[in-house]
Amino acid sequence: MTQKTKEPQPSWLCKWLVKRIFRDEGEAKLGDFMEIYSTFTEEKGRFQAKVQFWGYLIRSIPDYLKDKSYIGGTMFKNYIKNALRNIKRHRGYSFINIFGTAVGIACSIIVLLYVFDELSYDKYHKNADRIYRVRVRYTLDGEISTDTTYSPELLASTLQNEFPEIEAAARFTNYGFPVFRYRDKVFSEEKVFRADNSIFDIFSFEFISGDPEKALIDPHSIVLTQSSAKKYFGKENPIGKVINADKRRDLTVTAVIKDIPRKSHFHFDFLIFLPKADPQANWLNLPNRTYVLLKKNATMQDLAGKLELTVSKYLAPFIEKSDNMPWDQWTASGNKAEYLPQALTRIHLHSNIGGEFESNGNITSIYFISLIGMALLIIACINYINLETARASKRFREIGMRKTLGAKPSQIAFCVLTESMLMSFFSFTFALVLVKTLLPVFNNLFGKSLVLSLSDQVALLPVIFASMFFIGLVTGLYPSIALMKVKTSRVLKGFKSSGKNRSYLRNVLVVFQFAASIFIIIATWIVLSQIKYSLNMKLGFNKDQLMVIHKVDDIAQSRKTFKQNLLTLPGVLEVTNSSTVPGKGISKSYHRLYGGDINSNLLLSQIYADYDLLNTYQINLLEGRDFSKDFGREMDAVILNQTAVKVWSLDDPVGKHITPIGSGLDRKLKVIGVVEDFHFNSAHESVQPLKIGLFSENGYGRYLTVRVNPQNIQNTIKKMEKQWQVFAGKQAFEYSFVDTQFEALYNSEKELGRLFSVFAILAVFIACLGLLGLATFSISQRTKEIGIRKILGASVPGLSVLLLKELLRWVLIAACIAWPLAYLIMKKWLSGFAYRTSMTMWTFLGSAVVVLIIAVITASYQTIKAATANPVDSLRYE
Amino acid sequence: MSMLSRTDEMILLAVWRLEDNAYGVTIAEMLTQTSEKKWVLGAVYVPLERLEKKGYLSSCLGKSTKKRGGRSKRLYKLTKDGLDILIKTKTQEQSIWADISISSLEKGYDTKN
Repeated sequence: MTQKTKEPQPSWLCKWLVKRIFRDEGEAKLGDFMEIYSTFTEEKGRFQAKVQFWGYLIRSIPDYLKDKSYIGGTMFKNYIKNALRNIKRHRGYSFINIFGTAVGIACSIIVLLYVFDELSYDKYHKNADRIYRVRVRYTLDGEISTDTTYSPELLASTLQNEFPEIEAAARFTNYGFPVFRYRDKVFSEEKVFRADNSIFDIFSFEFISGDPEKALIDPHSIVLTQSSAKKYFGKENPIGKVINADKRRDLTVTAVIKDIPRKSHFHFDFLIFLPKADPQANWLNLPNRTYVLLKKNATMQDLAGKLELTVSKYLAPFIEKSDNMPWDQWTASGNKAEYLPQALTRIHLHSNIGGEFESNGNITSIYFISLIGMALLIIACINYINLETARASKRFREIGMRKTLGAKPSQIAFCVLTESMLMSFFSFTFALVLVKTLLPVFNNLFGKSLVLSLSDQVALLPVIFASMFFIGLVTGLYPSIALMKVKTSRVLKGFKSSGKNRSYLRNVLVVFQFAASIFIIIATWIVLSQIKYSLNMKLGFNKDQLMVIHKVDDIAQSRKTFKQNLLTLPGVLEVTNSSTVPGKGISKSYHRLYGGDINSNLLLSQIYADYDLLNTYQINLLEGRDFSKDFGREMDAVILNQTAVKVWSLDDPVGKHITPIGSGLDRKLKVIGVVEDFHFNSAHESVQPLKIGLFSENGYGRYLTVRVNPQNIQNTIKKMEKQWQVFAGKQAFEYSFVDTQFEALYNSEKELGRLFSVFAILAVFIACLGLLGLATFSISQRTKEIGIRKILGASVPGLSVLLLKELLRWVLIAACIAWPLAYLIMKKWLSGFAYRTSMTMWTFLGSAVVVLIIAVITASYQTIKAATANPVDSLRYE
Repeated sequence: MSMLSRTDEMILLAVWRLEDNAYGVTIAEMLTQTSEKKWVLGAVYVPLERLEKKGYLSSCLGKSTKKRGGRSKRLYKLTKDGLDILIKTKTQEQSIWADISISSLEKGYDTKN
């Protein structure tokens, strides 16, 4: 069979491979391969021939290389053997090296896991990249007055009906704290959400039973998560069972879904039907959150545009009505009303606005932690380079010998690289073991559940191998080049490295290490002192011995008797019922001065309570009077705080009137008193203008605050619990102390503080390991100098100072680098607090001193040993 | 004079058999036919080059064909030394095996155990 057309040819890649691998002279080998290829083509046809030929070529390579690389293989074996010998011979340094690098690597692996974990929130939804939440932001007079996750009731249905780009939109929000009953089981629940049925089109909740199409269609339907179903029904089939809510409504279980994964920005145990939005609903009210699923081809910009249209079409008329001003004029006078899309996957780390479901993570912390993880890894690598270059001078003779025996420079470099690769391999193995053993501790400390399982996280493997290779290369590169350049003749003649250049680089690296350590210590110091400051801040009320009893709504009917009974107990001093307590959210609404115009609008935080709030909390009354039974139930009286008085600039506040916006402008609230500012929130927020009002006859709050006598608190609590059981029966008696609740506000800062403390210790530790090795070497190189100095009459202290002087210089330079950097970065961090500690000079000086002391201690053993040594030993051979 | 390895021996014999047409592809084919192993090109180049270096083979660039995309063949020939070593190997082998037949080998295995 002959072919008239051009002979088929293997691809250029094959040709290239043949040329490269088989060292082809005169292209005879390529010819052979092409002949084989042609034969294949004749026998099997083109396509099959290609496949077969590739197989043939690949099979050819190992056979060839096996024979060819025999010599390379022996050399490689020799390198490995040499490297192992070297590691063994310098056991101490090898250990310092491997251990230090391993700790650095372990840290960065943990940081990597932590960052991955934080970055993977909300990714469990199938359409996560197309889901958005609507954020509502009002700007009044150029200042943001409202910035919240809550949105108007009609927004979801409007978006869905009017814009084809939107596949689904749903209202989704949390819902009070109902008491659920099923037969003898009674629980006060906290994680109850309400939603439109279309929420199942947006989020991917896994249904165990029930139909996502109809789960929330019936007004009496409720969807349970797996664990809440187990809590109420045990092994029974929950579908169709009826749960009673607050003794008012019966809810039928329509579906059970899997528990919400940990990595979600919301968690609920129950999902209840949400009644259809009222078409007349006021767009100024913000009762629920709105989530939107976009169609595949729509972008976030499209959604932003649609939301803008919605504002001007629907919200504008309501603003015009309430503020009595045409929309154009309203926007022209520095006001803005915006609906903004928030990408679902960015919520956890980037969103921190009003009305978040849970307190979210913080992207700055993530950057911070990644930075420090990187720094630790770099410090560890620097250690390795430092020690290796220091040791290099001791290897000159070996290298010289190798060169005389015919080693090429490339072989020398390869030999050193093999060693650093091997060290990197050991370090990584050690690091992985460290991570495995330390992760439980880390999880415990930070309330995370990170796992390292290489079989599950296959994606990690290439990363780990790549970084292993990379670290081996980076750490080995400099020493290998340094050794490659060694001049054989000089070495064998007995030349000793003066090493001016090398020690210059070494010093730079050491300084960098110290700078990083100082920086981390300063950061830790400031984070910790800010936490301390926040906890000891003057709060405006007395937080000690204040106890909060939760879920008082469970005994709503008998709450007054319960309070009276508590007051009869000997350990109880005061009791008050209030709508909120420190650390819990506070509701806000707009008020203006009575008779004032729009300029006097002010968003007031509001607390409702019974007559005893000020007494129980020991809040200072500055002017006027407290609520009192003598004046009856004053529903139209309020007490303001100092900030509110100041913002409104009221000269003589008592007796003035204010009016709440929204219920018409005719309601008058008389100011009867002014209290000193007090903090119910964390130090992140400044004190907001606030009013205190009285509960109506039937109003009550969820919390009962009790001021107890510090003596015999446990006994008092037991007695209170007995009282509680009289009214609440089986329900658990839940209480907490206000001071611990306040501490909980700083959980994320404490987490950061702990993380920093750990990192600071590690950073200093690794740096010290490096210093220890380095000091040993630099002193061993100076033994003769020290010997001569001693003979000429130098004293031991004098010599020690001489040897440590260098250390002082390094630390000083490092401090000069670290101080301004730490100052700038920590200033940025502190600006997140409305009330912040000041950065004192002592923090900065102290951190440098700490590093210096640790460095001196580390180096002094070697130094003193060298200084006290008998000069005869070092000079014997001269 | 050193002894030949089994592979070298087979390759020298293949070159001898192929006479004027001994180059990569044909040698690999011949080896595949005479042994039970599949020989690929990669496996014959190294021993060929080694044998050439030792002086048992000589090579020159020969004709090319269309099938080879215009690349010439590297044709191998047995040298005098190569012929000598083959003869030597053959006589040595015969003397080693001279008084042993397969049946006597098997018998020896039985009695030893």
